[in-house]
Amino acid sequence: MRKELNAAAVRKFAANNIVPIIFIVLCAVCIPIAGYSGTYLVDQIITRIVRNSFLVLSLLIPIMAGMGLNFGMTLGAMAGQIGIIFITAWNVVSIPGLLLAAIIATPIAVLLGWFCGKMLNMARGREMITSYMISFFMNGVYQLVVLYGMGPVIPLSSDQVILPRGYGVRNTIDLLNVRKSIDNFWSIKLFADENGAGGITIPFLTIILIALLCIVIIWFRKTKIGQDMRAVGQDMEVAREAGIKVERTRILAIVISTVFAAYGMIIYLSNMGTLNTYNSHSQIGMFSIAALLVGGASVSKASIKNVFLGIILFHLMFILTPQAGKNLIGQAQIGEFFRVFVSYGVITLALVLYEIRTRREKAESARNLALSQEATA
Amino acid sequence: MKSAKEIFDIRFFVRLGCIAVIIALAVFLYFFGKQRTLYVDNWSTEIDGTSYRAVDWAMVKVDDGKEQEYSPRQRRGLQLRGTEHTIYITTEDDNFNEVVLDPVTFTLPSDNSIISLPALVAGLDAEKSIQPFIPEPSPVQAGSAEAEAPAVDEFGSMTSDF
Repeated sequence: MRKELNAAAVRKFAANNIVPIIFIVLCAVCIPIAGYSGTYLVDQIITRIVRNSFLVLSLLIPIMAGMGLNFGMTLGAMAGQIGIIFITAWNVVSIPGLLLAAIIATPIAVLLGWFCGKMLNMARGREMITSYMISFFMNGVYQLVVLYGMGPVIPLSSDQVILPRGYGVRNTIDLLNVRKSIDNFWSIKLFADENGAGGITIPFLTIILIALLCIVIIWFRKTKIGQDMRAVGQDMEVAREAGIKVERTRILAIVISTVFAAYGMIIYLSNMGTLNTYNSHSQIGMFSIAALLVGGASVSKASIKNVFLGIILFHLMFILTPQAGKNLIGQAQIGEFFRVFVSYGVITLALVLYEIRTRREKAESARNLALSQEATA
Repeated sequence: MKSAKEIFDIRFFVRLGCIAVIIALAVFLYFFGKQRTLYVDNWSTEIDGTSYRAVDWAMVKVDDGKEQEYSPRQRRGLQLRGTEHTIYITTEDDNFNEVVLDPVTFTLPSDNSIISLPALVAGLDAEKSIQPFIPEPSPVQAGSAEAEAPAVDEFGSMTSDF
């Protein structure tokens, strides 16, 4: 009896955590093949945690409000990029520059988030595909503004940013003036060699910022509006009956997520040191969502634990696969392609698993209802 | 419909105050964080009809930057942040005795400015010693403009780093 219970518990655990388990196995296989040192791997993981956590954390609030994975976080990323473009053109450097970028990005992110929230309220029940399409639509608007508006309409004249023809932003902008400003503000290096090379860099300020966001999210869940969001996420009609302004709460969830995504993008870009003006934001949504799902989150449930586990596993695979591919068959490109299809594959798998689980739960509750009705009859 | 008293309540003014503080912070960050280039120039020059001969030797420090040695016909570019700056000059007199000049405080007139070291050493005002500087544009190579034209990828590329 006890053995059966244990087996059932293991099966349930495996079914609920199938994605992280696959990734743990993949990473365990790739680590010896890639042949990287432990120090290098830890340093890379820390770099990627500080680079991406803010972005991935921004996805938690819409999930809490029952709106699924917010593909519209791309809108926030666009807002963050616009802030970065401005400060680069004005040559405002270091942490003041990043703060100014955040101030510029905030109203843009609020506006875009409000628009996205309004649209998602109109397409209730189809939030994910709608937010995905909105991100494509807004990408067009962004490109129009950045490609033709910046220069003649929005006065920017920096050679570093504007194309030689006099309008439009360059394909790639070097962010040397803000590169690693937050990370280098307060950091220590462990296990470095005599020349200061190698080792593990720990950027304390960025870690504090991420920890603060985690605390804000935990606190937010306990506030009145946080409780409202959870109620809306569980059942919209019941929440409405309880006097919660459902539409307003949902819009607020998206606005908060978009603003956090804008800040996350600013942190991400300052860590990377280059802005790929026309592509950076379109990749970011997909990668952040994939990382969250790899951590064991689902469309309806996600926690801070999922965020960090996901980033570690997803990025460990990112680091390992090119080298593993190179060592196995002499081509790093195979690893690059591998991680691309894994990114899309994991999102597909998570969506399918969510659908199967929802159906199973519905069938189970129907069976229980039938049984209880039989018993009362 | 809400009355004017309901609209302009205490909450409205608190929000307005917050927006004003954020705008003020943005303006402060802009001026505090803006980086400009100052070229410290030790070439013989003529300002307002007076000639100033290049200084034979000088040690120059701007703000908290590194002290640098200047010989005649030397020019160095410095990246400065903020609105007001101070230049510290140490030079030598005709008997090769070290002379520490009084620090000179100045503001930069443009994003790229040039300050004449000989004029400063001769005691000319900082405002007159500094002029906007427009560096000569580097020649554009054929085809570089086309190469810079943005290539918009509809779906983004997922093969780059993340």
